[in-house]
This record gives sequence, C-alpha cells and structure tokens, in this order.
Amino acid sequence: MGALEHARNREVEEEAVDLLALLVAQVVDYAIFVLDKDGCVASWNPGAQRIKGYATSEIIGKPYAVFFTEEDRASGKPNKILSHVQAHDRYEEEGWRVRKDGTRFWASVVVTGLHDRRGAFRGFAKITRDLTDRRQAEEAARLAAAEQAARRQAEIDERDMRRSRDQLDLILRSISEGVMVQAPQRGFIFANEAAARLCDFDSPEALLAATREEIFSKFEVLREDGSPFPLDELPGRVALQGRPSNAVVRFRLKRTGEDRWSFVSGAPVVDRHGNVDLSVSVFREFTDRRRSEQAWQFLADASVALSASLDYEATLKHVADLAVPTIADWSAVDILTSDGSLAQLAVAHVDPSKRELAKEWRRRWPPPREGVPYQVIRTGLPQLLPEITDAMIEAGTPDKEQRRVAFQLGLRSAMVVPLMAGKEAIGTLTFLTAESGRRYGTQDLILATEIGRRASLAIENARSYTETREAVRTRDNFLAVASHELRTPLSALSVLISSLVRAAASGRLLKLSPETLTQRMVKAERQMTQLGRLVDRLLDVSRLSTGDLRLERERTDLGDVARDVISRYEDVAAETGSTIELRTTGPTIGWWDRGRLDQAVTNLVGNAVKYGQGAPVTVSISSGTSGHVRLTVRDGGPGIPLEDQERIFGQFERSSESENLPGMGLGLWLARRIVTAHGGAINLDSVPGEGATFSVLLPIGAPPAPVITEDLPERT
Amino acid sequence: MANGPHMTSGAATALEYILVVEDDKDLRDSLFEALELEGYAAVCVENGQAALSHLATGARPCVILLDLMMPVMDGWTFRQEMLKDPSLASIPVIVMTAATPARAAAIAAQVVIYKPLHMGRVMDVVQEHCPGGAA
Repeated sequence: MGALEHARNREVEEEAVDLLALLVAQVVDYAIFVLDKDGCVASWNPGAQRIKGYATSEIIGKPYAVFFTEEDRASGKPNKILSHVQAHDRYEEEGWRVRKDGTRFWASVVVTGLHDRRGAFRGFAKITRDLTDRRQAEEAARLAAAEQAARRQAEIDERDMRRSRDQLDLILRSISEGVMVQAPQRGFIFANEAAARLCDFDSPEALLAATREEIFSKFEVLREDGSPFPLDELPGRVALQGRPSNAVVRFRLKRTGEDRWSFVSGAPVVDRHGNVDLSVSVFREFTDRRRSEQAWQFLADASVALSASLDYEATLKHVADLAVPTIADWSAVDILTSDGSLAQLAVAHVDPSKRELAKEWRRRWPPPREGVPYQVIRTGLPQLLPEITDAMIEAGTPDKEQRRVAFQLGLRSAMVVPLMAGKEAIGTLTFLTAESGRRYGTQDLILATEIGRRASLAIENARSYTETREAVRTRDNFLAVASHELRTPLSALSVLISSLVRAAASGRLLKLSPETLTQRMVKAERQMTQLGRLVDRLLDVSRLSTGDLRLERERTDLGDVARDVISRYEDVAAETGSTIELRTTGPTIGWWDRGRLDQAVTNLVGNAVKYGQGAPVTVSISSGTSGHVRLTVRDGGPGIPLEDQERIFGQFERSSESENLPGMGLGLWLARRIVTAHGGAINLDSVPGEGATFSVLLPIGAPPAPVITEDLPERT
Repeated sequence: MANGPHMTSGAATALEYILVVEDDKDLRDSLFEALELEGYAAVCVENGQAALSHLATGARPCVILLDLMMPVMDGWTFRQEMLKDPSLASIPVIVMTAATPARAAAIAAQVVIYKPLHMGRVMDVVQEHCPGGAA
C-alpha cells in the first residue's frame, strides 16, 4: 500500500471514528459507555444519562457497581461479570439495575472487552437498554391473565358458595328454631322465618332492614322470673365477645302483651386468627309448652280452690282472683238472679281501685239484655272476642260518660263462659284483658271453658250439698218432732197398759172394780186410735212433702167446717181457761175439699188454743168481694216476732218463742199447702205481745168437671 | 178434776205423795191411775207454774215427776225456780221427757227417764225416793 493510499485510509478511518463518536454522543435509547480496566466509568453518553440518571461529571471515575442492586452487589456480581468478559470477551443478560434515584429498572445489558490494535486489553464497553416498559407490559399481561384466571375461579367459587349458601338458607328457613346471625359492628346479617316471627316481624327481610333500636322496641326482654334481662347478657351479644352462652329469655311483645318463651343459645364463629367473625343465636321457643304449663297450673290452683269450700260464692270469688293476672287483667263472676238479671258476685283486678271502678261501672250501667253475657246465658255457649275494637266499644256504650270510661280502660280482648247447672246457664265467668294488651285465642277459650265447667261442677256440688244438708236437717227435725209427738201419747198408753200388767202380776188387779177396768180398757183403745191417727197425719205430711196435693172438691160450708173443729177443741180450750167464739157474715159456701179444709182450720184453731195462753180465740168467716170467702183465727197469745213470721210456715218450723212447747211444726206448713192448693192465700198479722191473726182467703171455686169416661177401657 | 190438781183420797197421802207435772192430759191421767194402782198417792198439775203454786201451799211431795216441754212454764224454768227456794231445792226430781238427751242434760235432776214411759221403770225410781207407798 502507498503512502497516499495509506493517508486516504487514515482519513477514512479518522472520519469513521468521528462519526462513531457522534453516534455514541447522540444515541439516547442506549446507554453506551466505557469502563476502564478496573471497572470504573470512563465515558458517558446522553442515553446513559437518560437511563441511569447520572450526569457525566457525577459518574466518570465511579465504579460501575453503583448500577447494581444491593443484593447483586452483595453477591459480587459486578466483578464476576467483568471477570467473565475478560475470559470470554462478552456477557449479556437481562436484569434489575438501579438508577441514581434508587429506583429499579429492567435492563438489557451487553458487556464486551476493549482491546487496542496491538491486542492489549484496555477496558470494557457496556451497552444498556431500559426494558422496564416492556417488562411492565409483560407483567401487566401476565397479571391480566392471572387475574382473569382468578376471576374465573372466583366466579366458580361464588357459584358454589351461593349454592351452598342457598342450601344453608333453605335449611335455616325451614327449621322451627329461630336463627339469627350478627357480625361485629354490622348488626344482624341473617335471620330466618322463625326468628322474625319471634321478634314480631312479618319476614326476615323486614327484621334485617330494621335498626337494632327498632327491633328492641318491639318487645321487652325478660328473665324467666319476669325481671328485666340486660341486653348485653343476651347469648348473641356474649357470643360476640367470643364466649358461647345459653339463657331462657322471655320476650314480651309490646303489641299484644303476650309472652314468648325461648331457650336461646349463642355461639361465636372465629377466623383462623381467633377473631370473632360472627355470632350465631338459636332460639328454641317453648311458649306453647309454657302456656300449657301455666294453664295447667291455673287449672290445678282453681280446682283446689273450687274443691276447698262448699261455699260456692266464696269459691267463685277465689277463682276470679286466681285468674288475675295469669289469665286475665280483669275477671268477673256473675250469677243469674230470680228476676232473670245477672248480678255481679265478684270482680278481680290486681289494682283494688280498679275493682271499685268495675263495681261502680256495673251499678251505673248494667249490661244490656242483648249483650254478650246474656247471649252466653241464653245459648249456654262460651264467647270469644279476640279483639275489642273502638267500633264495638262505641256500639256497646250508649252513654257518653260510659264510653269515655270504656276507652280509658283500654279493653283489648274478652272471653265469657257460662256457668251451668245441668243444661241451664246460671251465671257467667268473664275474662278481660286491657293493659297487658294480650289477645285471647282459641286455646285460651278452651282453658276458660274448662274453668267454667269445673266451677259449674263446684257450684252443683255446693248446691246439692246445701240441699242435702237442708233435707237432712228437715228429716232430723221431722224425726225429732215425730218421735216427740208419738212418744207422749205412746207414754199414756204404755203407762196404762204396763201398770195393768204389773197389777195383774202382783194380784192387785183384782182390787179394781169391773167398771174401772172397763173404763181403763176403753181409754187404752181411744189412745190407740189417736196414735193411729197421728201416724196417718205424719204419713200424710211425708207424702205431701214429696208429691202433689190432690183435692176432692165438693160443695162445702166453711162455717160448718169451723163449727166441727171448734167443737173438738172446746174441751182443750176450757182446760186453759179459754173460749172459742165463731162469727160468720154472709154465705160461707164454696167448692172445696172438705177434709183438707178441716185439717187446715184444725191446725189454725189448734195453734190459737195452744199458744193463746188462755185468752179467748175468735174465728171469723165472711164472704168477701169477687167470689172469695175469708176466714180469720185470732188469738190473744204472745204473738209472733216479725223475723219468724215467714219461717213458721216452713216444714217442721216453729216460732223461736215456742221452742219448749210440744208440736210438730207441721200445722202451718200443711195449712198453707192446703189453702194454696185451693188457689187461695194465707197470711199472718201479728205484733209481739198483742196476739196473732191468721187470715185465709179462699176463692169460691167451681164444681169439679164431670169425669169423661169414653177413653177408659170398658169393663168386662 | 179436769182443771185442778188431782188429789188421792187414800190414807197414805197424809204422809207421802208424788207430784206429777205433765201437760198431756192423757198421760197425766194414766200416771195418776197407775200410781194409785201401785199404792201411791199423786197430785197432778199441767205445767211448771201450776206446780210452783201447789208447792207454795207448803205441800212437800216425796218426789216430783217432771215433764220438760210444757206451755206456760216449762220444766227447765220450773226446776230453776225450785232451786232458788232452799225449802224446795232438796225435793228429788225425776225428769220424764221425749226431748233429746242433750237437752234433758241441761237440767239438774236425780234421774232422767225417756218417753215412752214404762210403769216398771217409773216405779223403780219412785220407790228409791218414796219407800212407804209400795208397802
């Protein structure tokens, strides 16, 4: 090669070096720089400054290891790379590098060895490209793919979860236990139908939409004994603190006042770190059981009360008291009186002042005959008014003041059940609710009806006991009187006969003259006849006590009857120093049973003589107006106290003044029966100390109807 | 005889007689005749008031046969009146009654005999107090 050629070559070569230098100086996409043999930066280009952040002056002479990450530097990577290049002349990688500001970037790095013409090693050329954007795009794509996969998985998971949650939901909804789930800070997040019902909500959705305050305003939370249950001690709340717990809780619904009894258990659900995720409360309601227990308890108490005494009025009052407040806020007992109206026997309320109010109410506004209590009496069927509406109160209270009080009482619900005697309703038991707000249902009516039935039995028992006792008393009286009445005439006969027997045994009988003996025998016979008559009379009375009095009417002159009776009593009267006077005015004839009238007059005249203390007895007969005949028997005896005047007409009754006088106490009873059987009346007018006047008013009557014989079987 | 006290006419009466207080006429008559047949004199009255009147004359029976239930003055009242007077209180009293034992117990008497009466029983108690008559 010639000098020129050499020079030209040299020129070309120099030109190329300049161009190369320019290229390096202008490239901004690549960091192109040189390291000296020790690995320190020897040149810097704009690309390097852009990518790595160092200005030329800052980096020249610094070891290239500053571009590496902490970990790489610690592992000696910078020197390892240089050693590799010295051995193999080239190193290439992609990896994390560090900018001046400490941020990382993803770099594509090529390091080559630099040798001079003579082949001597001079340093390293390093070309670095920033691939962060690409790297990020790749990362983003990878992430997107991963995310999509995750989303797909999540969808699958969610579908599975929803399916199992729906199944769980279905299970929880269908079980009879109430289930409620609450989460810390979030309140209730799940409730099933039973829980909603228990809390008096229409649906679980309505319950979950309500605030805690709204939920707890629906009911009072009580302990078993009725004391308030602190809300923080409810099992669900306790479970939120991580502790399971159980309790019996009484929810008293404010709307109806009814108690709902639940066995509540609360259990916490914790995450793997032991934090409470959820608290699950399960409510097992046993209101029905509790009610039936209470009902049985009340029934048992009432039955004990009902059988405790035969005084049924006291008993019914006790039952009314027992019903409050277990069964009712108000309870009342009414008994049908003889005029067909209901009289209040008892009324009960926890508050005595309200009891007075109820009595006052009854006094001022007796229940109308078309009202519920009378319907119950008429039909003998119990009545239930589950809800007493304003309209019902308005319709039932014609009086303004009554209406005002009725609204004030706030009556809510009512039951009226009959008290029965056989098939007849004889009274009512009324149960009312007001302030408790409780509403009666069919179950309550069944209980009330049962109470009514048992009370009816108790009344019947008490009544039949009273009747039996009365009958026993009457019988004992009869026996006492009859035995007394029989013993005296029997004594006369017995003394007479036994003395004759004794005289015969001792031979003394022979001392008696035949006349005397005959006289005594005749006397004995007469006494026997009298005894027989007495027995007949007792039998007659005993028959009349149970059966009807059949009259055999005939044309009878009452004056004749009186004359006969007086003639029989004149001797007895004379014995007490008395006389019997008869006065008649006008006709004294009617259609009467002569024998029976004789009995009646005999009793009146007999009494007058017996009690007259020797004063004259006057018998007056007069024909009255309008077809009546009046007979009066007047004595001058001690008279009869006012309080005895009705009683002495009873069977075996005598005036208390005559306690120690003999007599059966049947005379006046028999006289009254005979007179009333004739359609007449008997009464007494007496002032103690001024004698007594018995008056009999008899309708004249009519001849008996001819006996119709056609229907009688023909005699053969 | 029907209205006043019965008096016996026998010799024994001067010393010893029985007072019968009974409102039933038939029984009163029967007792009088039976006692007479047994050899006793008797005075019969129809109530407590009449008996007190009789005793007020100073008469002293050896025993009184007393019915309880009588009008005007009953046996219980008569007995109370008797016991008030020391000169009468010591006269033995035999109650004859158809009343219940409970009511008869309310009277202070030596013996109570229940109706219907039997003459054997009457004589048993009478003879305890009036030994003379039976001779």
